[in-house]
Amino acid sequence: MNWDPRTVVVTGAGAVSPCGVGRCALWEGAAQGRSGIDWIESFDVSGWPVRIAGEVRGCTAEQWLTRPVGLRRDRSLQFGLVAAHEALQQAGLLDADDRVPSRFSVGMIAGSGLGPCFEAEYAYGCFFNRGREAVRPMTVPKSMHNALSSQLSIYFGLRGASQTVAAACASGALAIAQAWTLIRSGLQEIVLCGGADSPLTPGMFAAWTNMKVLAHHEEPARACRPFDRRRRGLVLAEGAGMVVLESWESAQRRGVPVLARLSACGYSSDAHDLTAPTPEGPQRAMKHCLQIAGKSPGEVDYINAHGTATPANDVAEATAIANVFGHRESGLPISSTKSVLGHALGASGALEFILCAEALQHQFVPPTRNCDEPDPETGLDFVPNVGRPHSLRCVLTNSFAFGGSNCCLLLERV
Amino acid sequence: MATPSDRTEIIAELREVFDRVTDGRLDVSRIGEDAHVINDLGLSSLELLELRFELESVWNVVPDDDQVRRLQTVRDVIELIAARAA
Repeated sequence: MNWDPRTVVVTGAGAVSPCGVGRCALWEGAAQGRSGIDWIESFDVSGWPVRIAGEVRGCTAEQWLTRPVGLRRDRSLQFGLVAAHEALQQAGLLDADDRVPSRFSVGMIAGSGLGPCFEAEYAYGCFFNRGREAVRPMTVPKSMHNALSSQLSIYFGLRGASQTVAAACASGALAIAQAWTLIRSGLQEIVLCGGADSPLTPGMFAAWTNMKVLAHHEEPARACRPFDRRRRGLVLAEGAGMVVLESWESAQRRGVPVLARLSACGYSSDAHDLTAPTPEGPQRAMKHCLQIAGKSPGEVDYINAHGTATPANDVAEATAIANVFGHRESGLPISSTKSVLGHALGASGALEFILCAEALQHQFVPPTRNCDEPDPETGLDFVPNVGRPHSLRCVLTNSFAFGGSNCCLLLERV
Repeated sequence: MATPSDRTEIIAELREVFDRVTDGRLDVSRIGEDAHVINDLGLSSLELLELRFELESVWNVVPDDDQVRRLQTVRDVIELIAARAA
């Protein structure tokens, strides 16, 4: 392959999702349209209007890591550690002690929308119930927003650039984009990047509930209906997706297999509203991404949509996609894998990035579950309910966030 | 002087304290009385502050800085608690 040495390639991927632990479980669940959305079990939601989520069942860092790490209260951190372990291991970067050998200086860019909200909620509970003296000494380092990137860096020995990216639902995608930029510029050779989030703590879940954007259904698997006429809102979820990005030069030198190429990122901000989406911002982000990649819309073979299943997002996104990509006789498959995973906030962009890499490997497009009657009537192909084999060379993944941050990532087959 | 059963109770409770202080990092079933709190158990300066936090909240024991400096081993911590509890 005669590529520019700073071409950015994917050499490792790891995931924890409502479909299970591991990137294989993630792909199989999404490809089969098998929902990970179910009744919430990790805390008491009796009598609440929404009692469902994409919950991760039975995953602790202790089960997967070699050295003890503790840090039990922060659920998203536990998932982040496990996903990072899988990614680093696939990339051949871990010794027997789960450490990256000191000859490598691996960066760590992690995305999180909510940060260590479990620790924050616990600490505020101590304060308001029992006063100043009840606030534990470790509260600050455990609840600071960069706990995720710091703890991963400490555990695995990641000694390059390290930060946590905060951009709500686009955090994971923007973390990956930031890593891409660092490698393209030559500032880093190898970067572990991705996202982790969990909103499943009582106070945080109450806050989301009262925004009235969540869908509830007495058959949880039918609740999340992206691009469907009967969609009623998003379903919250938790999880983590981590990928190892590195320069083509580094991957060749290390002799490791390459899973996909990350060819471009695109950015925009809506500059409009804290929560209400627009077609215009996403349109600009998709066009920006195509421009950076040097591709025409006709060269994209599949779009993994942001597709949250809120009435507002889906119509804005469908309109934006139709405006940028038009309609083709050959069709352009577009699917939302949030239909089976739910919306894992800062982890979503990373999980969906991994699903795109898997789609390229398997030459298969995952479906949009519950998309029985497509709406709006744009004539777009949302791959309703059943996935299909498809020739894929170039795929796009969208992430559009509260606050108006938009990020698109374009992957190509190797 | 603390009775052997008081001591047993203190040790059992102290294992749970070390579990909380290290947030599950240590295998507390294997902590022996001779273990040095910093060199063997690896407690950081913040975790030592958490240990002081627990001494106060569980046993109402509030050592001054001098007494904390003299706490080297797990046995030292047990004796400190036993002396105040007596």
